This record gives sequence, structure tokens and C-alpha cells, in this order.
Amino acid sequence: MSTAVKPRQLNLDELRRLKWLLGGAMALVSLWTVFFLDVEALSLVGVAGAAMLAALVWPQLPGRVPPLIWKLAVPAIILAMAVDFYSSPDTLPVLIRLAIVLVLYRTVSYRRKREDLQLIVLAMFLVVVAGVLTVSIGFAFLLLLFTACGLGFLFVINLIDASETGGPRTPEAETAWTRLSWGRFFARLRAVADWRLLAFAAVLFAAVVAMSGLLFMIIPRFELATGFFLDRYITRKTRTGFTDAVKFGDVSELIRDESVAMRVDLTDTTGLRDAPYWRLVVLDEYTPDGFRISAGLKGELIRSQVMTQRARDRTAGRINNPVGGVWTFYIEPGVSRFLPLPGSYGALRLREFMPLQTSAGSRLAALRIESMTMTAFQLDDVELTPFVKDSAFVTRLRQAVENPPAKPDPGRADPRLTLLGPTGTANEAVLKKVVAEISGGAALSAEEFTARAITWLQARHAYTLAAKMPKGPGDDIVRWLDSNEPGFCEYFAASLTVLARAAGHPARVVAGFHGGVLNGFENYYMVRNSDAHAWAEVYDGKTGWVRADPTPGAVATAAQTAAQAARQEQDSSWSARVDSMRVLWYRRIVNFDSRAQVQMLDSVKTFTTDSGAALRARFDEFSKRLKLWLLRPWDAARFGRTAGLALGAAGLAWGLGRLGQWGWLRWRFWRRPQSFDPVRLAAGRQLARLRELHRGQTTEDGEQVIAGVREDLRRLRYGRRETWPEPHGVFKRARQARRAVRQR
Amino acid sequence: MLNVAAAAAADWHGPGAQERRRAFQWRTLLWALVFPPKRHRISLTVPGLFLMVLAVGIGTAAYNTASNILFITLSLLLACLLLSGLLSWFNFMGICWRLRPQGPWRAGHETLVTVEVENRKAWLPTYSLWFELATQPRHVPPPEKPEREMKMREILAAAEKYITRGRIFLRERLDPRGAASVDWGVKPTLRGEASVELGAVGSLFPFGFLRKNIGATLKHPVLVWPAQVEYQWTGAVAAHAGASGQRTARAGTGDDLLALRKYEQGDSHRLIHWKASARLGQLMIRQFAAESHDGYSLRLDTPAAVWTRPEQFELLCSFVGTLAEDLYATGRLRGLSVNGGPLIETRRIRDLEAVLDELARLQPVAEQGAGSREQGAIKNVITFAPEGARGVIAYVDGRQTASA
Repeated sequence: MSTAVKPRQLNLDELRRLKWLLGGAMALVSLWTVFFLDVEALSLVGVAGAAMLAALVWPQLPGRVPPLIWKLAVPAIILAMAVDFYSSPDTLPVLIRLAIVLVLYRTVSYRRKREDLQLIVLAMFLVVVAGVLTVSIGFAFLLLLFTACGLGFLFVINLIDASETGGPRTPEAETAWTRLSWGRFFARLRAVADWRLLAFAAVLFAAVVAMSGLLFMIIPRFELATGFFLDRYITRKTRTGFTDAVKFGDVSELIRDESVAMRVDLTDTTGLRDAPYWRLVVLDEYTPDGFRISAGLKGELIRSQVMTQRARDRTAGRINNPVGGVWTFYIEPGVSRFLPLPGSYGALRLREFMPLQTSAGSRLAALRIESMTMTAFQLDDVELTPFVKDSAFVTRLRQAVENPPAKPDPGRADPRLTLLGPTGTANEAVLKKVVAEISGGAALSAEEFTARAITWLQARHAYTLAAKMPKGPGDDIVRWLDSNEPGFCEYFAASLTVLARAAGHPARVVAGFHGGVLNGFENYYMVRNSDAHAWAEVYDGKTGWVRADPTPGAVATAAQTAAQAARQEQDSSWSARVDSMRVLWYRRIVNFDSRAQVQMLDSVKTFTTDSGAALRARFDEFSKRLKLWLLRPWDAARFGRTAGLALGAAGLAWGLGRLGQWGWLRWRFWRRPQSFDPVRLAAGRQLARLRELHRGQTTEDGEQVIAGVREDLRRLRYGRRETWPEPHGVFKRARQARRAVRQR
Repeated sequence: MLNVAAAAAADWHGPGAQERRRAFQWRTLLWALVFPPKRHRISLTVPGLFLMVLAVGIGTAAYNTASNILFITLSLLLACLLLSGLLSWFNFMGICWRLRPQGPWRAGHETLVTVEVENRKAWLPTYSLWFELATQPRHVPPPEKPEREMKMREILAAAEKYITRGRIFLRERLDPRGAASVDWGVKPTLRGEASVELGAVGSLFPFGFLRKNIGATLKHPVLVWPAQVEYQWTGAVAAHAGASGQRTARAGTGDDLLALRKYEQGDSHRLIHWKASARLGQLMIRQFAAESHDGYSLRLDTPAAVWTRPEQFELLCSFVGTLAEDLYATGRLRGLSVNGGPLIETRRIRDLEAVLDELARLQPVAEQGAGSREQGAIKNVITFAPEGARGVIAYVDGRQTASA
């Protein structure tokens, strides 16, 4: 009696089902990448994802859609996209939406080979665009997932292509694969899965990843001065509020956001003691809604714009106390077009040639537009000074006051703005009263006034995140100043600025970040959006602007600084570990350029040279020791000990080998108890070896020698167990026969 | 001593057919990648070409934007291409094949060519192979003089006229240490010596980017028997009119013991010759002579002066072959004599096959042979002569008995 054995291969219908599964998974992965983009397509992505998932789980669904709808789908897509192109201001979001719809169309409809290839290309478009526009580490994961699905998909397409007979099939037969149940399908997959092939596929995939990594590193790089970049075709709003104008409340909203705004990679963190102030924007003009960058300062920035990859800080002068080595900044998209600067610096380097705007007096650096992707730049010779040198300011201010221009210069900041505050009799009266209270009627220097004003503010107002502006007439900040309400950094900074201005000292508000956490794994600062901060800068009357932070608790004492440093060192949480992966991604992949390539080649060369030398030295050392050991006098006891050790080691190795073999056999028996029989397997191996002999130089004599034993081996391999000869004897005879044939 | 096993092994061709594997050398491998072995071809398919174009496009964009995301995408694409080549190499590793034309081959009739494949790899299967086969006559009829000058395409088409090509696919996975066979149905057009050739073994494995072909110069000679034709038999009277005629002596169901042969499965136990079996130590079967019939001998003379038209000559061969088979089937064929040569007697099926082989190779001769001495004594001799421009007539002892 024979039992029907199912073939250990997937049939055509099962292969088609597998193709459907892989194609759907690949399309869903590509759709997932769109979540990283801010292209106003989330509802479309949701609908498309749900439809794809439904079609993936119930493959018979597309068959129930009337053919007319399929026919009308393409013209409808074209029409919808034409309308979208017409109505949307940006090109790229429309293209992405079009790709989503096309991926959806291709995923939920039954496909032939050509449509399968189209699906791959469309899905790849989505993945690549999302990667280019976001540069997030999530993209790396999704790209790998997409590659795995895509390769599997192509593999199955090719198998189907080879398996199809090409003959006409009835519509019933054509859609038979949709009626397979998932349970049966997965059971078949499990039945045909061979762990060796799966392991081989996993190794190959790892090899592809390794190979692509190697190719990535060795592809020659050269910089081009001009670039075509996708992010020009998409606009994005700043999330942080660090734009040209900061309204009261902008920063406080940001403080609730715990996501990382930027990461700062330092080559040397030893010199850092205080929490750095990361200056982003200087707001020199007062308005009743808040402070903003004046039109003149904006014009100054625009006038200074150059296409460059490198800039120097002209105010830096002589660097006295550089810290941190090389500072590499990775700023998340949506933070600001202004670059965060922790202090004076020697040089600023961008990844590529870009339009860069700078203002020496305000120590500002800004890109022309806000990047859609992560922005990276480097600073050298950074000095964490609270001072911004601007000795020309006093001259400009005097000239402007003495000879006010008839028409403001649009390309130059008006220095008089740094003295203007809230106007109106009531406001001025309040300010005058407060200034008098602070100064006690004496003419104080800027430094002394600032110190007293900070003390006054901190004595009058507490710090809170849930600040409320007192209601009433007059200017907001003056009203708050005159009240006892608690406030947050913006209120304090704005108050100090208007007080200083009322006292006749030029002052301005600066917004940016303060502090950050040092990652314990990769030695870099994680600055979160919750570290957003505002402070003031007051002109010292002679040489420059001095930072003044009136927010209670912002300026740490020495003890607090030491405690903070200790806390930073200990930040080795899982979230920090995960975040360190992102920096590795930025360091090794995103920020990899020709300079990094040369550095890497140098380090590889140094490593190989050093390790070669170290290996040689170790080998020499070992040879010397061995020689000395051998030259030592040998007696019976030593010889016995050595022999015993050698025998013990050999025995241990043999035992481990046997244990491994036993484990292997147990594992195979556990996996397929019905089909596993070690005797049959051993007989199969012996037969294969005899066949090898048969293919080789076997003489007729040899044939006779092996003919007898072959019969017994066949019986062991295929015969019933009751008819078996004694297996060990047969295997022994087979070995002897092979030896005898070889000797002839 | 003659090596029997080695002779059998020599049948196999392909990368896995080497007797002894050469020691692996990186230098050899790298050189083979740069300069592939003879007749090994790797070409891009349309998806592969698209992938290359995509890679070039992404590479251009990567250099233009200095975007490392595009560089990494480019690296992945190139790595996939490399992986594709590597897997394709694995796929062909340890594969060997041999050609088994199934007989008989007859002009105008479909026959099978079997390609046997073995995967001698230890644990990797092989997928999606195809075999490019062709068959062509050894001697192609001279082309007719064209009325006008032929274009290159027409010349090539004329050269391909007698070549039958085909591609057969191994649709299932070939497991490690497994074997499979695929059949190619072919219909030879011309009688005569021909060859069936395995031109190349190819695959699109694994992703369909690369079409890898391994040229295989595996040729197998075959003999195509003449086609079967319809003819009119009018010679029953003539046969009976023959006085005594010649009697056939071949195995059949008559009463006369013709010979003894070894027992074969399915033979009736009543036919066992027990005495002979006991004497020889193995079962022997009695073989009786067929019922006697008047036998015909075919005499075929093919002087080129008589058979001037090639079509008519082909018809002659087909007619003789068909007649010989029909006569054998009814037990009335004694043998065939060609151009005065000795009579090839047809007692067994093998003799009839020899007759058909002879007919397959037959060509018009310049002069007719002298004829054997016994021919004069033979009765019921069927001879053949052209009828008009197209037909052939068969005569029995000078009387018309059949025509085609």
C-alpha cells in the first residue's frame, strides 16, 4: 500500500498566493514610508493602507469588483491627479499622492508580470522619495524591509514565470489561488520550508546588506557645487516657532514637546561644564505681539547671502579657550532655518554648497530656506562665551541717533530699534517706575543694571510653564511686568529687554535652546524641543553684547552644574541607546562625504597596518615562549603531563564533536520524526560515495567489489526495516570496498 | 581494462559533469568573471536593463545632490545585481545534463527528445532552467535557384528552413542530488541522417535581471526514416498468380518450431520448453514459425538517370518504407535488396528497422550494381519505377501492383 506524498514544492497557485502576499507587504512598506513625510496625504495613506490590507487578506475581493470599475479607474486617476496638479502649489506632494494611488491600484488588482514590475517601481519611488526627504533612521529600517520583500517578490515572479505552461487557462483556474485558505497556505509554506535554504537566504540577505554597505563606502565621491534637490518642490512649516518672529507663547508650547530637536556630536566633551546656550534667532524689534527680527536685520542677512560650504566667525578674533573639539550638529527637519551656535567659533562647515546668510554683529547663521531633511554642519574652535563682540555697534547707534536717516536702509539693521520698547504714556510710566525701583534713581552701568533687573524680576515673578497674561489695558509685557503673575522664559527675557531699553541700554531677545543631555553611549548632546529657551542680550556700552538670562533657575550654580554633569554621564537609558543609533546613522551614512571617505580609508589602512604589526608581535612572542618551553628539560613527569593535556584536549574536542553530532541528530529527529532515520541517511551517504566512485576511475574489478555491498546499502536505504542486514557491518564493508577500489 | 563507468559518465555534460573537480582558485574565479568561458553569455533582460537605467538615474541624482540616501539606494541596487549574478552562478553549479533522443525518428511524425538533468550539488536546489534544442539534417537539399537576388533576411530564412528549434523549460525545482527529465516534441521534416543538438542551457534565475546562457555543444546523431505515404495496392491477384513463391520464415503462431529463446515476463507458461530449460539452467521458451505466406522481396534500384526529380525520389523512399512495413505487419515481407546488393532478410523487427535505416540513407546512384546471383531465383519481387513526373509504381514480376 502506498500513501500519496505531497510534493515538497509549491505549486503554481501557491506561488501566486505567495506573490500576492509579498507584493502586498512590499506595497504596505512603501506606504509606511509616507508617514514620515508631511505631504498632506495621511488620510489618503490611511484609506489606501486599509484597502491594500483588505485585498491582501481577502484576495478574492478584487474579483468581485465589476470590470467596468477597473476600466474607469485609470481615467479617474488621471483626472484626479490633473485636478490635484492644478490646485496644489507644490509639485512633489502631488507626485507622491499620485504614486500612492497608483500603488493602491496596482496592489488591489490582479497582476501579471508587467504589472508586478510596475508595482515594484512605484513602491520604490515612494520609498526613495521618503528617504531623501526625511533622512530618518526609520527609513534605513524600511529600506531593508522593502529590499527583502522586493527581492522575495522578484524571486517568486521569476519562479512563476518559469512554472507557467503558457497554455490557455480557464478564468476559474486563473483565480484558483485566491480561494486557498490562509491556514492551508501557511501549512504548505511550513511544509516546504527547508531550514538550510532559509538560512542560506538569510546569509545572502546579510551579504547584500554588507555588500551595499561596502559599495556605499567605496563609491567615489566628489562634490558638485550645484544641486537639484527634491525638497525645493515641497514647502514645510517650521514646527518650533524659531522663525523671523517669536510670539509670546511660541516657546512655551514647544517646551511640552519631548522629541529631539538636534543632536550635537563632540569629539571631546571634557571641557564642557555649563549647559550650553544654543543661539538661534536674535529678535531686535519690539512689537506688541512679541519680539521679531527687524526688516533691516533680515535685509542684512539677505545681503550677506553667499553660496558656500564654509564660513568664518569674524567676531571670534583670538580663540582663548576652545572646547569640544569639532562640533557636528544634526538638526531635525522643522526646527529652524537658523543654525544653532553655542558661542564664537573658528569655522563653520556645511555638508554641501548652500546659500548661507550670516550676520557678524548678531552672530547669526541661517540657510536661505528651511531644509526638509536633517541639516548637518560642523563648527571648529568653539568658545562658549556669553559675549558677542560688536564694537562697531556703539558708533552706528550714535550716528543713527545723531543723524537719523530719512529713509531706513533695507539692507542694514537699524540700531535704534534696540532701544525701543512699548510706547504710550501708561506703558512708559510703568516702565519708568520699575526702572527707578531697580536702579534707585542712580545711573547704573549696563552690567549692574542687568544684574539688579534680574534680581528684581526673579523676586517679583516665579517661573511656571502655565503662565497667564493678566488682563487689562496696555501692553502685554508691561502688564505682566507690573503684576505678580508667574511666567516663563519668554516673559522674563522680554521684560528684561524692555526694562534695559527703558533704562537706555540697548538690548535684544535671543531665542534658541539651553542645555541638553549628554548621551552616555555615543558622546553627543541630545537637545530636545523641551529645551527651547529665550534670554536677553544687553549691550555693554563699549564692545559687545552680554548674555543675561533672567529666567529663574536657568543659570545654574556650581553645585547644580556638577550635579547636571553627573546626571549627563549617567544617561544610559534604553531611549538613549536607541537615539545613539540615530546618531550612528547620521554619522556613518547620512553625513558621509568625501572627507569622511578619506578619513575612513586612512583609518582602515592604519587599522590593518597596526593589527598586522600587533599580530606579528604576538606571533613572535608566542614562538619565543614555545621555543623556551620546548627547550626546558624534559623528564618523564613533564612528558606525561604534556601528553595527558594533549590527550585531554583531543578527547574534549572529540567529545564536543560527538555531542554536536548527537544534538544535530536530535534536532533533525525533533523536526521531522517521520522522515528521519539515521541508518537510512547514513546508507544514502554511503551510496552517494559509491556513486562518486562509479563516476570516477572504476574498473570492472572495482565494480564487482562494490556491487555486493551496494545491494545491502540499497536495502538499508530503501528496504523494509525487517529485511535489513546488520547496519554497522554493511557500513564497514562499504568503507573497506571503497578503500579497496581506490587502491586498485 | 576498459572503463565502463567512465564511458557512461562521459555522456554527461555541464558544470557538474567534471570527473574531478578542479581546486578552487580565487584567481580563476575572478578571471572568469572578467572574461567568461567560451560560449558562456550573460545578457540583460528588460527588467535588468530597467534596473541598470534606474541605477544610472539614481547614481546621477546621488552625485548631483550629494544625498547619501540616494547613494545607499544605488549601493543596494548594485548589490542586488551582484547577488543576482552570484545566485545565478550557484544555480548552475553542479548541474549536468545529457541528451536522449527517443526513437524511432520518422519524417513528418512527432518524436521526443529527452533531456536528463542532474543536480549534483549537496544541498542547494536549482530552479528555472531552460534548454535550447535544435535538430537539422546532415545533408540539406541544394537550394533552388532564386528568380531574383535574395536579401540577407531571406538568405537567413532559407538557411533556417530545415532547422527546427525549440526551447523546453524545467518547470519544477530540481532538488539537491536530484534528477529530472524534460521532453521536447519535434517533427523532423527530411529523411536521412540528422543531428539533434543541445545548443544552450539558460536561466533567468533568481530575479530575472540577467539571462545566463551556458553554451553546450552536445550533439547526437539520429537517423530519420522516410515518411509514411498513402498508396494503392492492386497486387493481390499478382501474388497469388505466382507459382510457388517464397515462404517467409519468421516467428509467429504457427505449428513449426522455429527456435528457442529466453523466457521473458509475460510469456505463456505453456510455451516453456522444460527439457531445454533444465539443460541450460534457465527458462527457455519455444518459438514457433509464423503461418506461411507467400513472401515478397523488394528490389530497389535508384539510378540517378531514372530518379531525376528529388521529390519523386523521396516519394519512392517513403513508398518503399511504407510498403515494407505493411508487408512485414502481414508477414509477407522477405527482404529488401538495394541497387543490386544482397537481400536484407526481414525475420525480426530489428531486420525491418535495418531496412528502414537503409532507406533513410538511400541516395540516387550513378550506376546500378550487377545484382546478386540468387536474385534470378527469387519470385514475387517488387520493383519500382517512376510514374510520370510525380508518382511511383510498384511492379510484381513485371506486373503493376501498387502505386503512390
